[in-house]
Amino acid sequence: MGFVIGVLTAFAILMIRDSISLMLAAVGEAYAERSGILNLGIEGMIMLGASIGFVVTYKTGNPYLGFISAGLLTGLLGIIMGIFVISIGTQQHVTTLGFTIIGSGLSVYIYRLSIESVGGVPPTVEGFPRIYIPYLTDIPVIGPSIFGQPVAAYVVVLIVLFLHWIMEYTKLGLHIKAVGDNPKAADTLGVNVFMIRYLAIFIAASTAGMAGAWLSTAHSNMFLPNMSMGRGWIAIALVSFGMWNPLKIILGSLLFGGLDALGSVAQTYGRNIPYQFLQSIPFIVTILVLIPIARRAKVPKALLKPYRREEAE
Amino acid sequence: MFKIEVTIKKRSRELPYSGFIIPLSSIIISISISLIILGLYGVDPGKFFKVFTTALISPSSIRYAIPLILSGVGLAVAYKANVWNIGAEGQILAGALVASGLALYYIPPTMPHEAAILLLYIAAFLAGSLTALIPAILKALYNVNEVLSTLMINYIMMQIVNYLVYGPWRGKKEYGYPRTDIFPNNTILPQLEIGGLKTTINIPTLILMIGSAIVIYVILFKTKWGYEIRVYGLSEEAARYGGLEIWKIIILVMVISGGLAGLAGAGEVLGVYKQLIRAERVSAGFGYTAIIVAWLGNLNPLGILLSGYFIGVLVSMGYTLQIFTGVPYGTVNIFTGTLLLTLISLDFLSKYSPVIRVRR
Repeated sequence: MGFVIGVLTAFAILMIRDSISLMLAAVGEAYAERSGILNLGIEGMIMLGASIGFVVTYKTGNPYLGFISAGLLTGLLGIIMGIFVISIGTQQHVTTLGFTIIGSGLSVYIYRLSIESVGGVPPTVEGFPRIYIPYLTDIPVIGPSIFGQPVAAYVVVLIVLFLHWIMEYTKLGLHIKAVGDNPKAADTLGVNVFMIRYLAIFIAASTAGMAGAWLSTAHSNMFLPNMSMGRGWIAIALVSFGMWNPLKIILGSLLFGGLDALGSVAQTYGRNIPYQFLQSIPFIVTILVLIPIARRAKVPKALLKPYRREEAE
Repeated sequence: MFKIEVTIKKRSRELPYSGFIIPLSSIIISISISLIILGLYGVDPGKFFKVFTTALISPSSIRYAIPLILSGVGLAVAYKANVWNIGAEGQILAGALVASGLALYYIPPTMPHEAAILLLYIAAFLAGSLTALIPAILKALYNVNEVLSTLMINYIMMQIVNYLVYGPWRGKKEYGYPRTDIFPNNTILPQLEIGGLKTTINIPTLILMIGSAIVIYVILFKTKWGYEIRVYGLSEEAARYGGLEIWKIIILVMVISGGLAGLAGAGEVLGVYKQLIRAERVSAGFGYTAIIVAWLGNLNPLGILLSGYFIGVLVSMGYTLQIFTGVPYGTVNIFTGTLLLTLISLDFLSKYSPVIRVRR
């Protein structure tokens, strides 16, 4: 019995921990897509955020500062991306993929520039403290997983719920959706299409950055090159899976966090299964879930289409 | 309050000499950015240009250009059709994996060298094609976004290769390292010798690379297939209206582009490493860098020969810098990325001009 509870607890803790980075990045990506921009830069932005978050935490000893800097600076990269895809209106697939490549380059560059390598062992940081609520945290299984995570987890949950509220219940949310569906009409009605898209791309980039910081200062406490390990791409899949609705995306993230956790737990307890197989489960499942949803997906109508005010001939 | 209004206007004709000025100014801009980035790291411009000019004539630049150009040419076919194959990384691995498995376990040591190599290339092409066929079918039948499916397959292929080199295929003479044994002699590709010194350039893949660039150029721009691919790429509606069978185009471009990436993978393991090694080292991100190569070459196979060589120079420079200055290799990604971005935005500005008006 003790063994079963141990396994279940490990699973629940990991499921929440894995889903946090996914929900943050995916809800941000939903903002970009709803406003009409496919952000394939997300994977590199997660790497960059992981690097910035780690470096700032390492230098200052303050993980909150690391988290915020990762969000703001990666957001800045998002704004730069906006100059290309929003103002100039370059092809979105290739431009944003270029930002994944730049982000991955910047991540190792910034890390190596700021932190001296000590004999091959990557340095670690203290990271976020875990909360402890008397009685609640002591409940088996759900206690440590729901009431015992690093503080940042609760911040992230608040952020994504707030982003859900903005998207679904405010005028700003309405404007974002309008801009992604019919920018010309929105422009005629006085919505500043460019401003809204810049805002959305900033949100998308900074959430990706914070998701990265979560990986390097809370999920684990070190930075590794390529540490996002495809999470950005899964986040993009989660956006379609959640039908561009933040709340559904959050639920989807929990599901995928569960898959990741299943792999990790099986790796520890089931020694006969090759761990490479377990690690590829989320990617296999992603392809499988894309099949039934692809046909009925309601893609924002202006996705991939740059908006330009063309001069009359 | 002033109000700034930006509109754009299509130029009546492209800026003169843009085909020459745009790539040149992109290179200058990205080199300037590289100088700043490396300067922060303590690498002075003199050293940078020394490493850069050495890389320009180094055979290792051509060695890196081979997989980049082969995959890049393939990707260009897909991108011409507006099919977003991001899966070259996985398709390279598929080619490497199948070539390695055959070389290690199935090709008899008595088989003539030429026959063995021909067989391995064909198998690697098919392996890459099949890997690309899955997302192609999913797109043609169920409208599954190929960006995501090809990306997912990259990670799956990576895990399969790592499973094999850590597990059943791990070499008996490799002291427990995660790699297979060295391939038998009759399956290893001959390497180019310059002045009696062996280089890491393998001749057959080099020839394949040039050959495929020419063949793909002809297919894309001189045949009916190529015409249909380009029509579909420009407008799906036009293709439907013109009665083209779209599913055939999707499958054709994916099979070609996957197959060429598969060849690149075979070239890497049979011609450079002579054994299958960990996935992160076989392809080393070439599948992603090849996307940049394809776009820098303006999706034209002949242009890709040039852009692939130039990126090969950057890759080779990146490895040299890592060894001699400690700048992490990944920094090269910043150069290639900025190069791509400046090129596509300058290309846009050569066709459109922004009109800025300030109104009260």
